[in-house]
Amino acid sequence: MEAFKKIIEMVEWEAFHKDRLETGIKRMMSRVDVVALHFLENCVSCALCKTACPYYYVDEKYSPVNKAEEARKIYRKELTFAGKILGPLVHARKPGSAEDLDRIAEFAYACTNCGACYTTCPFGIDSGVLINHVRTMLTTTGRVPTILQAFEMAELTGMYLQVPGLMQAWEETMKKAAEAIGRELPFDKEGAEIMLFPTLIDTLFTPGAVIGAIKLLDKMGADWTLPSKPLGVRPPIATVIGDTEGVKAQLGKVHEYLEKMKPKKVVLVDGGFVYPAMRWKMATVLGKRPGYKVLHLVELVYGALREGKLKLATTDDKVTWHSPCQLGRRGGVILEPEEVMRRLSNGYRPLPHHGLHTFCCGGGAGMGCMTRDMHEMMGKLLGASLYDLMGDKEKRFLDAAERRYRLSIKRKMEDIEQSGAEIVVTACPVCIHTIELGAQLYGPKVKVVHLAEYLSEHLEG
Amino acid sequence: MVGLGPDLYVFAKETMFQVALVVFVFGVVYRLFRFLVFWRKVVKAEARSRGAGKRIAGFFKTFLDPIIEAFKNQPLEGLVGLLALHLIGLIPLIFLMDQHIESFNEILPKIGGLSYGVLAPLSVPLGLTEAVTAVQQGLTITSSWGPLIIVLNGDVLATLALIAIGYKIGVKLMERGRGIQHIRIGDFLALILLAGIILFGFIAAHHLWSGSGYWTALGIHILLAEILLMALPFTKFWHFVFGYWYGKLHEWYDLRVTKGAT
Repeated sequence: MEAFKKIIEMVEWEAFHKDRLETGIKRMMSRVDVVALHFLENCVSCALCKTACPYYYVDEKYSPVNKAEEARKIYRKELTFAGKILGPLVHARKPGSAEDLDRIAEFAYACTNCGACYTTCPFGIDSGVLINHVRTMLTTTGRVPTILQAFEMAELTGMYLQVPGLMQAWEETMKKAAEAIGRELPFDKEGAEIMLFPTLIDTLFTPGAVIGAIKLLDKMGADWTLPSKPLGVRPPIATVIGDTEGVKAQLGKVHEYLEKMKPKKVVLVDGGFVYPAMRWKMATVLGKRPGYKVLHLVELVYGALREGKLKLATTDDKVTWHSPCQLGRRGGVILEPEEVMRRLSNGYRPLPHHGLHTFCCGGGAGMGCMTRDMHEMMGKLLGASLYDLMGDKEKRFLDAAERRYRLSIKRKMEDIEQSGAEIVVTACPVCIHTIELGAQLYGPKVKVVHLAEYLSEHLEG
Repeated sequence: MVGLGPDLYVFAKETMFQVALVVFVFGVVYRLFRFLVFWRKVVKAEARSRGAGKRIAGFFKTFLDPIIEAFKNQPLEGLVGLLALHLIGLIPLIFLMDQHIESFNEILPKIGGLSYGVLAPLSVPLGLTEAVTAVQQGLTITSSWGPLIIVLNGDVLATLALIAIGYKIGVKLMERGRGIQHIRIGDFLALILLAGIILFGFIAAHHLWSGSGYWTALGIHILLAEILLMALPFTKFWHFVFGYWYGKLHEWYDLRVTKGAT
């Protein structure tokens, strides 16, 4: 309960505290480096990015350029001469009221940080990064969804390890995985070639993926291990709310364990934000390159198939691959899953919008977590109702966010329908959850399955 | 006191040009220095290698993808904003028009023995009438563009650019009316400045103002162009000098070279 009290202290949806705002702006400005400076200064407002964003189809005000303007207004006021002198004349303005913060929160939580705006912008401007900067400021002021703050707190304090509802999912998944391969799992083995890295969320939402990954490693005859306890809820979950210190702290903890275990490769099951954080940000955050390689499971499978270490039984499934934005567009893993799927099924068909230009499902960066269903489910697991912690304003914010989220999925579902696929394979728990919801809301009635689970169902022999 | 007519032209061509050049150079140095101030040395993760072929293909895709996506998803914006305003509007109008090549050749220093006049074979004629006549007579087509000069001439290019500017102003006004916050006063000022430069260029080129009025129009055309030059480092026009190139090169390096996105 101590942790919950702390969450209540941090979350603030009603009042406007100038001191917290100033601290938030300072934290936000401290993230401005040369690349962010380009993102902030070189937008010409052409709005060619708008059609790339799933939230633009909810309302044109949620176009990336319009949302990123919130970051630019603050930046101009803080770090430019023109902004300091001319203020609103050059659109330089800091939030000055609770209403301002509410509006900014509405914009900041209508973004999945999918990066589609980045590759569509003629100037290579990544509005998602700027919107994450805005979240840094908002989190400091207290305008942060309680559920996301709770996840972060649970992860940073290690509280999740004491929650029976959460740990039960982990233990049951591991038990089933051991049964599937017919032997004890090799937990915490030092010096193994491969460290499988399932997160707590993997075992909660996609236990089949974790079991599938273990079956695949076993079939490859790999020298592998895995942690006996999850190394986070979904590390570093702090990234979703723009808490850079939290990201650093959690990645540091993960690295400490991995360094002790000395694996050569760390293999992730989650293809969401965990991948770019571990693969691309870890070195920058730690200030040194780790002594292990970080791979997604699909990269390992791709290599094993090419080397003949793994054989899959070919199918005729009408199947497609939804590339999670964080694994594909932001992570660079585009070629491998498409090639693996092509080898596996004669009925494989790419989505009309695939690869670097894949449509985002609409659920990333916490958007898929801010639903009533998710609050109820998490409340049961945590043994405390998250709704009871919230004020009316946050509840209204969440209801609106959920309405937007539900509308944002539609475009992805139309893309899937056009492909004619009956099965959608992907690698991110949030994408799975979102596309399943989209299938219920808009159709087509597709089966959505994690890549690891799907591949493990087609192992040869 | 600078009067109208030839006085204004001389002031614009000489005194004001020097001022504009100084402001421009100062602005460029300031913007580049600012970039360096925000540069931080960081440790990067080991890049994923996909081979040189994929990197080279990725280079071209990085620049072409937004154009393709624009035409696919926002065809009118692609047609007007990219094609009419940029590719066959302002870019050839500014850099390839006969009179501009002559002027730039006079003003700009030679680099590595090459003068701006090296672009002369690519020059586009000033007027539509002379372009049509030249093509009809099949005689004096000195431009490498051949019969294409019927489109690639000052009159048509200026008209295209003005239509595009008018369209952009209209769209932005409507968006602003709908409460879209990223539309700023500067967006309109930039477009009005461009329209002014083209209009006064057109008036001068066609001697629409007779007598000393010609020199007034030409003087204003040059003065407005100098305002553009001074504004370049401090406004959205910076995209042409630096922002566009840096942004796409960074994106290419980040996504295609480092992360190996294909």
